[in-house]
Amino acid sequence: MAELPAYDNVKFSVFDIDQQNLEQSWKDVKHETDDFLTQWGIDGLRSGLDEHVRTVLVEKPYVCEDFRSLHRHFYGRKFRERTSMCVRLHFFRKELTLSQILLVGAQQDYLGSSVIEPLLTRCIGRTVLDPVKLGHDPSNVHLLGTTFRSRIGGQVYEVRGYPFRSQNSESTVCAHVTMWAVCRYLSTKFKLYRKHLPFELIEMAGRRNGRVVPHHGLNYADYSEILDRFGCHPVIVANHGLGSHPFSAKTGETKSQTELINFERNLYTYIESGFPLIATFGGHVVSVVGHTSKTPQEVDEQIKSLNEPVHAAELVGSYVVMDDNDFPYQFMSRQTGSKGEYKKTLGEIRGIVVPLPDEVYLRPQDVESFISEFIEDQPIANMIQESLSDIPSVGPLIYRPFLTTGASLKEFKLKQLQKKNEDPNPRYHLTLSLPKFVWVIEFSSAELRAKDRAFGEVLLDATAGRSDLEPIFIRIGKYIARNRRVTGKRDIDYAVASSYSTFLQYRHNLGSPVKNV
Amino acid sequence: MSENEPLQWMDIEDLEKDIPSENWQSLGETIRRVNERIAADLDRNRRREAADFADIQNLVVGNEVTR
Repeated sequence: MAELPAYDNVKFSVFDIDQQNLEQSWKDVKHETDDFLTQWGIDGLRSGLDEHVRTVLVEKPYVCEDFRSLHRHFYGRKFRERTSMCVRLHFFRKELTLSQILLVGAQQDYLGSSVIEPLLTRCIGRTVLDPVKLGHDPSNVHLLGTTFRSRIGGQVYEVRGYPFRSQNSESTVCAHVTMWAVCRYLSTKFKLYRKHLPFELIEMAGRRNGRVVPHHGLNYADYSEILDRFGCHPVIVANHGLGSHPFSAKTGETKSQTELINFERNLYTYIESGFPLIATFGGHVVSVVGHTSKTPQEVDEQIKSLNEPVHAAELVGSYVVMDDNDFPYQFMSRQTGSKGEYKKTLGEIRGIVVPLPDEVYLRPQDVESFISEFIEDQPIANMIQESLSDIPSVGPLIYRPFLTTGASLKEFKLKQLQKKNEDPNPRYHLTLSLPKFVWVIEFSSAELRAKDRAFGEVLLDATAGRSDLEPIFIRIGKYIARNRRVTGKRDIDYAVASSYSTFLQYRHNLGSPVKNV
Repeated sequence: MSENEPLQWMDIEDLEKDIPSENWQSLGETIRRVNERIAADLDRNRRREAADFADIQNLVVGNEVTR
């Protein structure tokens, strides 16, 4: 009888990344990975890490459950035998010794990790990198992220970021890895969702379009099927800026600027609500995971001469995408024609798929319709005007819609109340009976926004629809309005409730500190 | 509220006890007007979703290898 192989010992090796000789340093790392790290992988990692990484720790072998899933169902079934073992790289921004990393701990300097899969070219497996430590200032770059834990020996390292992996073009294509990243982000962040391995997701698409591997892409029905079986209730939003049939548009040429603006408002609102978006450029698919904000000076310049209310989407600098062909956290320009760091622009997106939870029936486009009429109606317009006149204000009203949970909103308001001398009005929120999800529309001005403050807010029930759409609670400056029952009759009434006050904008759904959202 | 005084819970009645009932004014008409004006928009949004759904049937995407 043949013998079983012995249990491997894990080997840790540390490499200084010499800034004077980067090429050689990475060659040494590659050699230590037994050449699992391909030149394609080196080029990809170096494009974002060279400025920041000073030490790479190589951990081998590493058993990656994600690769094992693909190996069991695909690579292990190929004629030529190949290992299911991977190598993992850990990145640090300081020069460190093995003992410092393994015994003392160097959490402060931990940039994240990358699994290197034993594939011929596209070898970058599960990767999570900390965007803040990569130089993306959280006061300006608002990103989805959650905490992932790595154990190196017995030492626990944490990294807050968004998951990433490259496609290998045989068992997975860009649509799969994007779907995997969205699902892994959600299952790591929320207990509600179970963790799914790559092949589980591939199989969820079903076989009505033929075999699932080697793969050829997905259609929107597949997206919906996967996300539905994962536990989400997805919606598809088209970019009608590209015409009436945007999904089959051959080019990303904008045909209607107004429709593009409407699409961007939807996209921004979903991002601002904390949902990772699956965005398609036709053949290619990426995740949209955040945005940057324009500086207060840029905002002043942009809106000082305007009278009409401004949607907060207009004040976005760029959107952040995760493209499996590029290093994580690429900045995509909003303007068609202008080129940002990333090769595509917002206007070229054909559509997005949003992994919504249940109980979010009211769409952002409905909220937009409601709020744009609401702020123009006379009593409300008067309250807004009166409130704006109390602020040394330049420019018009800025409104920011986003979705959050009633519980999370109350938690945030309670924290504000507990701060001495803060606005006493959060007491209202604590007494409200709120649905699981609420749409919040915050009113601000350029001055207040620069201080992360707002002067008004409207709460809408996310389960409302055409027949029952009315605010749960309104606050504008010194006025509050709410549903009341007086002498047996229910109405929405308003009154002066307090002296004029402003309040801190809701803590970002994207998890970063409040700053010019 | 003094620095050392613990926070006290307030019901909605406590919050509004200083607002005389005659100071309350109705926003019911505003909400009715707004809903009337947006009804066509909401219907259009639904129709658009249906048209988009028809547009994307069997469209294969996400198969591109670009680097």
